Amino acid sequence: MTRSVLLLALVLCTTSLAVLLYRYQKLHTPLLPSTQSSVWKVEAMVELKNKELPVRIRVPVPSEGKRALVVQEAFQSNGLATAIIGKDSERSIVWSGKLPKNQDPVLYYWAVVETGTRYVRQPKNLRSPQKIIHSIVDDEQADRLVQFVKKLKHSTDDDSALVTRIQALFQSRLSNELKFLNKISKSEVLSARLFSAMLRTAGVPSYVGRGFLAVKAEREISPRYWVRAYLKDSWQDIFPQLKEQPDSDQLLFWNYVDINMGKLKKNIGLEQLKFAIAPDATVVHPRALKADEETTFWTFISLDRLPVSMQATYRVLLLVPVGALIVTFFRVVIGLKTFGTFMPILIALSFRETGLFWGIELLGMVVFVGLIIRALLSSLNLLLVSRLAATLSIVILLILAIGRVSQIAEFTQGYTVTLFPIVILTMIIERIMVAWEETGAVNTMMLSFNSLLLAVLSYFAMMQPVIQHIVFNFPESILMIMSVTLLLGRYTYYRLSELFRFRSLAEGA
Amino acid sequence: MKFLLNGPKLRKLGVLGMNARNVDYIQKYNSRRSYPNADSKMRAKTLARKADIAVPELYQVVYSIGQFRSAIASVSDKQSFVIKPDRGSGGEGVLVLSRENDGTLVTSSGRSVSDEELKMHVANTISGLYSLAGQPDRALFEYKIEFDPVFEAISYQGVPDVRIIVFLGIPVLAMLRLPTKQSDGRANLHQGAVGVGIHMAEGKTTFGVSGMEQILEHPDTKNPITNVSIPHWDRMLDIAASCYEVFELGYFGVDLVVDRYRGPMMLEVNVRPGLAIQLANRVGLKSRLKMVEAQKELPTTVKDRIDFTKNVIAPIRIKN
Repeated sequence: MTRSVLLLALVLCTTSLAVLLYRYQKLHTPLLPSTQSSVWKVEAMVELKNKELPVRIRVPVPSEGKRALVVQEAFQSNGLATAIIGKDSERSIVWSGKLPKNQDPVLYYWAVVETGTRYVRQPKNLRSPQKIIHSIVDDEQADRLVQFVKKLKHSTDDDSALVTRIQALFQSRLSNELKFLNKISKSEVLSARLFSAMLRTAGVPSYVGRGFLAVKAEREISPRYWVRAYLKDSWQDIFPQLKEQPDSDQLLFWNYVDINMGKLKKNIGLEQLKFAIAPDATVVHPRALKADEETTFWTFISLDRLPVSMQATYRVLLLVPVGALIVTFFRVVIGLKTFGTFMPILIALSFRETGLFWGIELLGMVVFVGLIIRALLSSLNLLLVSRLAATLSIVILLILAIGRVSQIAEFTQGYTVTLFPIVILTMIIERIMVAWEETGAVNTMMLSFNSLLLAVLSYFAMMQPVIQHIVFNFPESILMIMSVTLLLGRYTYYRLSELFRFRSLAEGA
Repeated sequence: MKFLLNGPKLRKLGVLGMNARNVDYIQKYNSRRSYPNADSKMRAKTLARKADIAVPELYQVVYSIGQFRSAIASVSDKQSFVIKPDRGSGGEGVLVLSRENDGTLVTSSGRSVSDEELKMHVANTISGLYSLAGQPDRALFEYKIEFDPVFEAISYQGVPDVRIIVFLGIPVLAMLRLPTKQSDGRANLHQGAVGVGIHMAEGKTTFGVSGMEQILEHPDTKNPITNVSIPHWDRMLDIAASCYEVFELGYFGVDLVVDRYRGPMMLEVNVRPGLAIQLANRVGLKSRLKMVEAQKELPTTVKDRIDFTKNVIAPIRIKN
């Protein structure tokens, strides 16, 4: 018996570890959470030159169709004909027509975008690198660059070394025949385009990414340009002229098409285009499931493919086993007695929403008042089920009352009380009452204290960003938790409380 | 904090812990199928009666609150009676009632109970307030034990009982459970009753325990609780050992009482007997269970099994 449990635990544990390591090694899922928000709201503000004249403005927007980065988007048209057209690099929003009278000449496009360049694909129909180089420098300089790259390619087989060498050209002051690069490296967009074209000349797949560097909320942010290069079996993000490369989790990829004002001159009636970004924690609408993305085993078990709103539910669900592990440990190894086996986990989950301090305050308040009213109900001699139903109604009214009073007192924490599991609260009240009548006040207080203690401990465990990150991004870790609970299921040693309980036997001997 | 180092010592003494009890004994030796034999007091009564084991007479079973009137009528001629949940545990929901001269009913602690309150209690019982997993239950109206005068001096209200742990048909450990003021007349240790160890061969009480404290006299009556001879001890061992076949359980506790008029009776069988019995006997239960497990062949007849208890099990003690 013990053997098969051990074996099963071992199998679960190794399976979980293998999947986890594969994800970490091959799919580059980070083991630790980044401190950055991964979803940002980007606002494009378009200002019109003249209210009276018809306009036609086309602004590239992030692609949405395949492996999209856009979680959600919206626009404001102010009476103009508006449409989002094209797909991939062609995808853009078009405003056209004449602005109706008294309409604001400022148009908006909003997108909620995920950071990271995981989903960004290589664009189709790139211009040839020679053409790009020639469009940036004159013919003679272009020849020199191509010569330089070819010589470099000849001397090394290592693409990474090649990239480093070419990148060095954009970062140091040159005094040789390539010194014209000094001027180019002052422009991010030209550096990126030239660098990318040089890499492609050397046979390294590469293209230019356009987007933003999302670090903090900014009311006006300039588009950034960087090079994406395929090195060591994966796409790397490189800012050629920067010595310190930003974290690719901070990159908000926008589109392959240029979005600076210079390139948008062709638009009729555009005065200016500005971008603003802010971290967005409240994504409401689910992202459509990517139906056209092929489902492999790995995408199947990756929860980040879920719509964002569903992800939130799964995040909570996946934390329950963590709480259950803690409860199991405290019951089996420590010997802590609580009300109900898994009740502390449910309390801990509601603390997640309310915050610990107010969670305990509100819980205490509801249970205390509930107990008083339950005691009054007790004298009415009601049948059990009706009494529970009555207590349930009382609990709901209490929650309403706390919510309203907090609203009037402009104390927003009060609202969160609605997230308490109402049925659980009712059962707590009933069990405390029965325990009080049956086993006395001391025992009841002890049980209540233990339950609260376990709830607080599970809360702290569930609130650990590392734990949250791991169970969500590596759901296979639940198998590991399960293997520990299996092992605890065969733990036949004394509980800590029993070492105390039976101490007289040990000391007597 | 010295107690944290007690583990190896307790292990050496063969003290049984809760985890080991659940995994190595209850789950290993009891088949789930047999649990209801013990969990339902009514079923236990029927099984026991078939095997000629005396049980408190059942006056009436109340399945729905509509039967409350007829149940009250069935006990109208009784001086006293008990109301129990059929599937209760730990003595919860047990109401011991006796009739005053003016006909009012009072509990063992002397509180008078109205009909209305009684009906409420029965309704709660039926809804499952006291049952093991909160499932709907039945209320049993049954004979109230008039306990043997031997225990008069050492119990406070309520009825003292004898708990015997039986393993593979062999009684291994026993204790006398004495109600106290704190336990409100009930014989459950976790509610404050006193446990007193019993020498398995002699049937005499040894040491007492109240909570985690070792005691030698009853906390309320102040009378000594040691060296009391349990009346009908051999018959009790006999009942305990025969419960093995009757209930088809490998590891269980059986609760017995000595009625003044009817002698030893079986009250109930418990599949999850508590571990405080070790404190009352100052002996590790596991050391005795191991002895039984170590036997290549266990005696089969009840008589041989009791001999085994007296000759092999009883001498296993903690060596001082």
